Amino acid sequence: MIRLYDYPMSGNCYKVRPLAAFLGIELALIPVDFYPGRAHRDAAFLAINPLGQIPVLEDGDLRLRDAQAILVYLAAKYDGTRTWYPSHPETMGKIGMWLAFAERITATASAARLHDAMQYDFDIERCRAEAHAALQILDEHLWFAEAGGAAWIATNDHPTIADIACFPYIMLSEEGGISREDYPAIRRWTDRVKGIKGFITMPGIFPR
Amino acid sequence: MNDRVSMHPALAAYRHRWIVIARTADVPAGHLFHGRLLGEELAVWRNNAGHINVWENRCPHRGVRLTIGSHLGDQLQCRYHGWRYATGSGGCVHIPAHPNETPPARIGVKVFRALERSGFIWASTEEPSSEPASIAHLPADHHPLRSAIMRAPAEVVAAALLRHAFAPAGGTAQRIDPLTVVVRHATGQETLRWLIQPSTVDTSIVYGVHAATVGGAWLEAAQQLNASLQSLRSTIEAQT
Ligand SMILES: N[C@@H](CCC(=O)N[C@@H](CS)C(=O)NCC(=O)O)C(=O)O
Ligand code: FES
Repeated sequence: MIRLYDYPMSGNCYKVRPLAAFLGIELALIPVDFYPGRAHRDAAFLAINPLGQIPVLEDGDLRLRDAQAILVYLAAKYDGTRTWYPSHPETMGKIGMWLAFAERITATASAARLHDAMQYDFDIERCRAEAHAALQILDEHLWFAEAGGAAWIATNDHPTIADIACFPYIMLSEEGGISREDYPAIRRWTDRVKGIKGFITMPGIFPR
Repeated sequence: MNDRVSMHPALAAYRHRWIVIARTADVPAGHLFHGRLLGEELAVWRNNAGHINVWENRCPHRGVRLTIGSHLGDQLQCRYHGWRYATGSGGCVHIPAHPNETPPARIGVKVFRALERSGFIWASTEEPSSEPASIAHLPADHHPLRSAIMRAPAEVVAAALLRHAFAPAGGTAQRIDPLTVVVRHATGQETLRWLIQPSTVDTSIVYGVHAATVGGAWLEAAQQLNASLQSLRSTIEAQT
């Protein structure tokens, strides 16, 4: 069975679980005591991921770290219809661009949440300001996508792994003191993500 | 969250006006739109028939935001303890802890007057003196633009809109009421209209309407006007 090193409150680990659910993949979850245990910094876990970060996925002999890389792999390998990661060069390029953007949301909005909820020592004002700058970029992108008939970040009709990767830390932003009031196009899109058949939640994210 | 602040004097001046609070497209079916009216947080939603509700974003039980609740079609359910409120009246119709009792009639969400016209949703905190002047004479064939949120009072934003030259829809700007600026071509034809929402005392939202461009070019025009509005926003915010 495919194994996921997981922590229930981690938005990055959460990215993997809905895609697995949409694709009907069963995951064996291996809990990592991230907080307050800091088990991701233990020698045993560093042997699995030298970066000391979760999630990590293992499928047979393959071991992958980084939520975005894991999404790419699962969608390319287990989605027979190739709708979650279409094999169309332009769409792949766009998805790559927004997967990198998801990492930026992690670096800003997730960092703010770690500061507020788990006492991480970050420059909170800067995290919040940079998170707002990122949200502004996505809101504008989504507004014009909608105006042109596209419901998703990188595609028109069917969501992709770009939507999954950007979703968690946007939906958890308020736990880091980042309001989404100013981003109506993002709020409509988060509703659409929640409306995907088979959508699953995590603590802090409500169903639709 | 439970603190109820009385309205700031600078906002009280707009109490009897219809104020634009969203575009029609901001509130699709099933969506709970988080908005604001003169400092008060709003929960804006449509019932099954499409009728628009503009409510205070606050559950009468413990004050939780209704926008994190569930849209049940003709009722809205609070996320916390599941109290349900009816479309139209805002009256409480169900309390899960007392499933067999009819909730007391006095329990209800605060409801605001609402109006949906010409692609926009308008609301008022008190009996409005008249129909919104800014609704009248909207160009028949128009396109809504992406709104911009500016950290500045409505007065400052209106004055700045009046002075700003908007490419590609140039013309002469005129303030037809405190919250509306219209741009007209030399021929007298309206090209642009800006509707200002004083959402708090120091935050305003600018909604734009662009007269239809011939052919399919409206999206490009909307992009240019968005860039122009965002640059105006930076200028205004740098000054305030
Ligand atoms: N690029 C990685 C980032 C993963 C990440 O930041 N994980 C957090 C938990 S949500 C973590 O392990 N942080 C510990 C650390 O960076 O020291 C990914 O997307 O998976
Ligand atoms: S706070 Fe809304 S039902 Fe209790």
